[in-house]
Amino acid sequence: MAVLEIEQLKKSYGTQNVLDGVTFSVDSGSVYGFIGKNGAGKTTTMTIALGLLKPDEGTVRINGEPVTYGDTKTNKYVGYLPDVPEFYPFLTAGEYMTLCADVSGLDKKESKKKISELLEMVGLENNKKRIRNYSRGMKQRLGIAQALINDPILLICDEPTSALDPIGRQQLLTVLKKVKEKTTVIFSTHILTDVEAVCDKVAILNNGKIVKQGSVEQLKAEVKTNQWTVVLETEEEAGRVAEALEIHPELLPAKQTGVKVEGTSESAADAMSIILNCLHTLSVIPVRVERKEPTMEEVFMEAIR
Amino acid sequence: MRGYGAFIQKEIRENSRNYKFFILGIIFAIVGLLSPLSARFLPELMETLMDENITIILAEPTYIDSWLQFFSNINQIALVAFVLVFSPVMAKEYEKGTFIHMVTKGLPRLTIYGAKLTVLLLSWTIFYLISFLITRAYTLYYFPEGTSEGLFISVGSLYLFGLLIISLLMLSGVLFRNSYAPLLAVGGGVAVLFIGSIFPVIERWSPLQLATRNVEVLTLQSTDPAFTRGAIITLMITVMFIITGGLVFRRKALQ
Repeated sequence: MAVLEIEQLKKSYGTQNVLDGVTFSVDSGSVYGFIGKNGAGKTTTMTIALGLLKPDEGTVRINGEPVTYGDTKTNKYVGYLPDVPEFYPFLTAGEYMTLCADVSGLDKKESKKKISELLEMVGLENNKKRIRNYSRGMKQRLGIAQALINDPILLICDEPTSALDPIGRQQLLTVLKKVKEKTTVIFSTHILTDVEAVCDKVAILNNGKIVKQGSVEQLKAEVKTNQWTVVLETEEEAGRVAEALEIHPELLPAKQTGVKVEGTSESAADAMSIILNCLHTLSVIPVRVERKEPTMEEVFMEAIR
Repeated sequence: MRGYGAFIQKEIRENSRNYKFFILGIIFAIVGLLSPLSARFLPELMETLMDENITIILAEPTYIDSWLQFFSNINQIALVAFVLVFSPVMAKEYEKGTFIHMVTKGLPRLTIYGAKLTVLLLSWTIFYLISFLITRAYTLYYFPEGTSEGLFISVGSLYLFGLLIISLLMLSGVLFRNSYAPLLAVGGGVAVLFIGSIFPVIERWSPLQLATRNVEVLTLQSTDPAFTRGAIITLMITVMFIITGGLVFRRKALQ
């Protein structure tokens, strides 16, 4: 069942079309990566889904209910984590979480337990400092705790890792992996390694349109890979292999770099067959023979080309 | 209702921890204290400061002078300080985006607006009351012959004028994202009232009467129809500003 359904969403600012018929849906229990370059319309889509911005056309449904601009009732199903979450700096994490619990209408007794569980999960359980003294990473972790206070069925994360250092990013991704056991997550980003780390499905947004969507594996499979690499024990072996491969025009150009021989071919499958035959003929045992898998970066570049 | 209570508690915490309540408490208390003291001791002070060769005849101060000082100090110091302290009431939240977490948790915008307005109105009521009670106590002490006839109408009318200013402060706070804009709006609003009062037709309907004719009401111990009209107009405009502010905030883009 789809937790989030977006149909034919259009939004423009003046003459600039930010969203031009965006359509996609996010299935329950998945982490959905929403990727695109800066200004592609990711934040606009998420802001509309939260009822904070009015679309020109199109509909957004969360848990089957339509999102309306202003006080949308669908927000009771949603948790939201922006790229740089801002809190009331004069409160402590505990006080802020209590405010969020009260605002969400949680039962008093239940909320105390929930707050301590969430603060423990993000490593802020014993922090008595006021939020004004928090680092960016701590704020982001508090951001995820507050987003989960109402047990949302959908967690909307808008570039949550973009402002963090590598350690902060890693911590946040770990928390997101934990969260996905219970909550559906939509996760916008332009950091493609994060997408590979946590996302099950991906939509690529370019110039206000979804240009590709599917699972990470599907999208990678769609990008033709034509690069191959053979790693050998010694440079001498590498030289022999490179020389032997030179006579095969379909493998050109084969290039030796130390113990590595690399090249490209029209068909990766044919290349593998020739390389394995050649190694067999030369009686050379390679350390590694590989067809290079496309990275998400290549998938993305291909999609927006 | 729980969200409303929680947001009010947040507002009270904010204003306490940012020393806003403390600063206003001091200012309103000083105004309350200074008004009867200056009425009582200013003539004596002037006499001692004057050259012996200059003779000035000063009337014996009465309780009216004490309240005259009170009205003028509230208008010129306390109300101005109140507006200055609370002018970023909405702008800071717009600027930082702190409303977004509350709204996306399902807190109705009208609850946020209502909670902020409640705290402003309560603050004005409490601080004004503190100032009034201090002035009242010292006036009774220094001028025991004073009467309370007409006092509550004259003090109440200035209180009502304060409510009008607060409703304008909230409306402009909702409309503009800049924290200086509410200051300009309130300043501009008061300037318009002063300009309007040049024309007698407008003056007879103007809310400004509630802030300028207090001593007259106290002295005459009664009000005239123009003053009553001014009070009714003030109430109507206040309610209108409050409703408009709420309606605008419901549709305001928060990002």
